[in-house]
Amino acid sequence: MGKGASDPTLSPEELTGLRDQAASATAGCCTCVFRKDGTHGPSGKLAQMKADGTTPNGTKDNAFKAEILIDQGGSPKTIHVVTRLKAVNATADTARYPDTATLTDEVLANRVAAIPGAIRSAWNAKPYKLKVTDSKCGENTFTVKFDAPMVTSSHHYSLDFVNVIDAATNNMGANDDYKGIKSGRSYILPSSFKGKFNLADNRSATNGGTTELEPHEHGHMIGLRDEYHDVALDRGGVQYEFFDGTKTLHASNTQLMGTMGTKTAQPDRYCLTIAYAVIAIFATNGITVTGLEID
Amino acid sequence: MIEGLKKHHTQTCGPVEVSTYFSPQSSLANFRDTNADPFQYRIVFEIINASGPAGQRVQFQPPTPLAFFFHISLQSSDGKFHDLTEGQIDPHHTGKPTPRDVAFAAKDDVFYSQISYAAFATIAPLDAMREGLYRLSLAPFPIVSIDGKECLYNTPPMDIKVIDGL
Repeated sequence: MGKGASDPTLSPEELTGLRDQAASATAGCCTCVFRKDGTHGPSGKLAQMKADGTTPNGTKDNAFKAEILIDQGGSPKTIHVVTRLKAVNATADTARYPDTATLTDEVLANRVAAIPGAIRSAWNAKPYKLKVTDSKCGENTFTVKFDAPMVTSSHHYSLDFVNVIDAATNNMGANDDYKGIKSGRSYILPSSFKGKFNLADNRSATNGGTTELEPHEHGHMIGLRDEYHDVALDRGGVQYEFFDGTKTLHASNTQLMGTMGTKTAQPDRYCLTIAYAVIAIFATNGITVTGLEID
Repeated sequence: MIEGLKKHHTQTCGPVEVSTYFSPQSSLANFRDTNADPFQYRIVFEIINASGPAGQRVQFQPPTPLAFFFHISLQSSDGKFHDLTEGQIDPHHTGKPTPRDVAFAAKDDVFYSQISYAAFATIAPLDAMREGLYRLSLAPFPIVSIDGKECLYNTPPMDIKVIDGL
């Protein structure tokens, strides 16, 4: 039976096998596995706009951490993007998060176990494909597969989990957390590779909710910016520059990085930071990409 | 007087007196949010019901989320301060500034609100934070409203020496 969109994209054995192959990859090889585990980007090809929709506000895409494996010899050819998440039980840390209610480590582990499946379902639903052209290997199409396993070590992102109950009513807590943000709000701090997730948010997969919260945050963990259009906050969406130089501006939409009405990642542009990271990995391995399309 | 903190600015807002205290020195760990105690180094806002009656109420606006209020600069070798401010969290995730009601049970009662230096990781990139002299600038803002009348709080910049291993 084939794997569904919510299933792990690689078994531990398959992942180890790809890593072993990557260890013996040679420069310019067209059938090898290329791998980079660490910080990717930023590409500088994404620009957030002010509310007027034409003036950049100075914010670009973020650098992000992930393990990216380019499996050129597989059938199908696949690019695996693995973002390892470490859950920190901060539900009892009322010094940092004053409105949180305590959960045991066991309960936390059970709750956060829903996150990888929610992220896989949202990000592998399309699925994304990258058509890569270079002078050595010609034109090859790769399926992009995203995974975000919960780990206890070697993590890419460390996430404080809080349990701020009245977030269910969208009040997001009575008090600020130690970073000056309402204690029930979830966010990613991109330059710190840290974040805070609220288990009681009614959009969280950990709460049996509508499940778009963690997939949206995963977008930030691969370098994407919010696409909201909001005059009051002087935000007017994001401009994306594709490999062929095409630029598109997106604001006031219901997509996953917008208002989240669409709960899966669908627009081609959401794979752009990964595409630029893949180009960089190819370059490191002696292959210069001359064309790249996202489908 | 708040132990370990420097009194920086005081302003009278009708019946209440508003003061800012801060730690003039900080560990790099606290700035980078790796300290065990996030509030070891901090800014504190103190509101004293100096001349109001028992039951005096004010609307207090803490200067949070920081992206709406603060700028942070680092002094370079030429002595000039260079702005490091770069929003790390989109305002949709931080939410907008939200005032809160504060009620004083008696005259001379005191209310405190504090901000950890770890919070500056929300407005500056972590890799820009190193040892040195930082200048925190807080834009004038209505820190309290009393009976609908806003009091604009105008705090001078705060200089903070950040030391690794403090």
